[in-house]
Amino acid sequence: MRAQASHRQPSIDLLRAIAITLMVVVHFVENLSGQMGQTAGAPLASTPLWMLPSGFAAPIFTFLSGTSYRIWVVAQVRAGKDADSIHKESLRRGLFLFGLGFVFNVFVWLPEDLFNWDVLTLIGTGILVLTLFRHAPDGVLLMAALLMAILAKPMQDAAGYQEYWTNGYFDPDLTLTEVTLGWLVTGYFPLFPWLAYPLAGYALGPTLFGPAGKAKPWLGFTTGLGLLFFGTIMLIAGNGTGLAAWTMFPPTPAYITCTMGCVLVGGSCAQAALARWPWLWEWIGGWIEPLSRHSLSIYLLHHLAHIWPLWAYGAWNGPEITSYWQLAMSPSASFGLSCCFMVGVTLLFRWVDRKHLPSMETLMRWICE
Amino acid sequence: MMDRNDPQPLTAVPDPEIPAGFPSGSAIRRIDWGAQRAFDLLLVPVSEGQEAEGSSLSVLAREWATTGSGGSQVAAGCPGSVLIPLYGNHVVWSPERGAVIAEAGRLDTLAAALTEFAQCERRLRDLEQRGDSLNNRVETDAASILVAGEATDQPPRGGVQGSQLESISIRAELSKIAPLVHAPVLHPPTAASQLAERLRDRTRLAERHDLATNRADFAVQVYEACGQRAFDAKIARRQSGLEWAILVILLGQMALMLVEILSSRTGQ
Repeated sequence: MRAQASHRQPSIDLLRAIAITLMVVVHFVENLSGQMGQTAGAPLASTPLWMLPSGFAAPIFTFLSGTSYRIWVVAQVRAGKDADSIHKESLRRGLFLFGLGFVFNVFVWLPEDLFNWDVLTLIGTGILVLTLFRHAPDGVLLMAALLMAILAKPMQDAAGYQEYWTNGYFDPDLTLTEVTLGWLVTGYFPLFPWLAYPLAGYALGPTLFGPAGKAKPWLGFTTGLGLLFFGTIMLIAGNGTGLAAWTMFPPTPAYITCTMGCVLVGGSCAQAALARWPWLWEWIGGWIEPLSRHSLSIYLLHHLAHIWPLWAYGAWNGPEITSYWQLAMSPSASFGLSCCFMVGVTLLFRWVDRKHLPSMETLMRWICE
Repeated sequence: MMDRNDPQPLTAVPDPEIPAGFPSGSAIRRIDWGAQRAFDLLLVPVSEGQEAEGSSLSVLAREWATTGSGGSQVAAGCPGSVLIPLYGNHVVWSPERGAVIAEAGRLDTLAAALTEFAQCERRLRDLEQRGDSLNNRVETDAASILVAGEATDQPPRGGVQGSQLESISIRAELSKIAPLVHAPVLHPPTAASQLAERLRDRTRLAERHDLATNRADFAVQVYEACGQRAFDAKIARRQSGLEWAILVILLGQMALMLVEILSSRTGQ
């Protein structure tokens, strides 16, 4: 296991572990206690401050999916694998995640939410798109990412985004038109603008996390600072009361700019810090790495851990299976539960690694490679 | 302007250690060739008519010259040291040391001829070594150019450009020393011209120069082709980037149109 660990990128592991932790917390609190701080229905000003970082989870996660794919491709090329095999494996990975997204929707969010376009379908689509565009120059990919971010707002306006979110969650009719629009613009994680993150992650991966001498973390840091600066100006200019322009559903231009800036600053800082003080990773790596290595498993498991009991309780007590969604407990109680879950899952996956037991990542590799 | 390969003027060695067995009046001069390299020249004046003594001294001088050049690489076909008797005088050459055993009146003339030859030989030897090093890289460099852009997404290695410049530099240097190597025989001959001719002949300078020129020509041709290919690849990458950018913009426009069409259908 140590040999495997040595090939991993500590800074990426750290960021991904932070992302999955934030994601677990926000999902526990949102689904059990109804804290919808990042939606258009509830501006940030009405959100508890400790929920603020939750908006960064999905951007970090999706950005790193592009970066990890780049690292994987480079490793395959260096191993002498031919382009056809790389294409096939990439397509299988993308399709696996895309399909897993649907299976997850059916079993977690019940069949009526099959087409809610969650983050797994986005990452799957991202890998499929990157498979097609992986030979494109980095500058073109960045341009595509910028285009997706810019086009998102007019598309949301054209599609009538708010009409699909009247209840505070994505609620389309099951018609081909609305399902397609959900995938493109109006779903939870539609291609516009969310595909910008994997594209940027793929294009900027070598700059942020490349080998010493080739990486330019300072470039990522200064670009990130610039984006944060402009994002803050957009936030302030967007609404006089401040921060109302910060919404994740729909992702506003200010939100996209700020989160992208934050990912770049965080990535470059993590890279520089862990390169300068490697002993830090010696201390925390053993606890952080399992969270990153098994982030897909944790993503699936944490939904099962809090949604299935919620459905079971609703089926037993309520008039409907979903009666207690967002009403089950107080935010502090759900936050406490999420912390307990993270401790438990860290211990669990350390044990899984030690015993070489299979996980969802193992299954993906077994199917796709 | 002084060429970088021109030797510095003869200077006296700070603490000349004349080898044992040489008569008083002998001296060692050092020619500084830069890069911590030098050519030591032993000047031994002998009286007129002492040919026997000169002959025995030449054996000593050759031993001294050979010992001093122990670490130097000598080109294939070139002896490690050369002894040339010339009208009762003796001249010894090795890559780092030389000796002239001659009557006082001819000492300076022969020393100048030996110095000029030593300089030319050193320049050729340097070029041969640089050529060897370059030829060892030719295959790797050519492969890196040919493979780049086909099997990998990586652009050609930047080092190839340096190798191309090196090949041109070697070829240009070889051209510069060609007149010295292929100098025609003087008529009427002088002692200095005969000495230079014999030294060139014994060290196979002309053949070595031809061989080095052929190898440099080959390297220049290969790197010229590689450079052209790298340039073509660069242009192709730039063109490909432009095509990708156009494709992305078209896809963005199509997506926008698709969303507008779908939205209008939803509204009906």
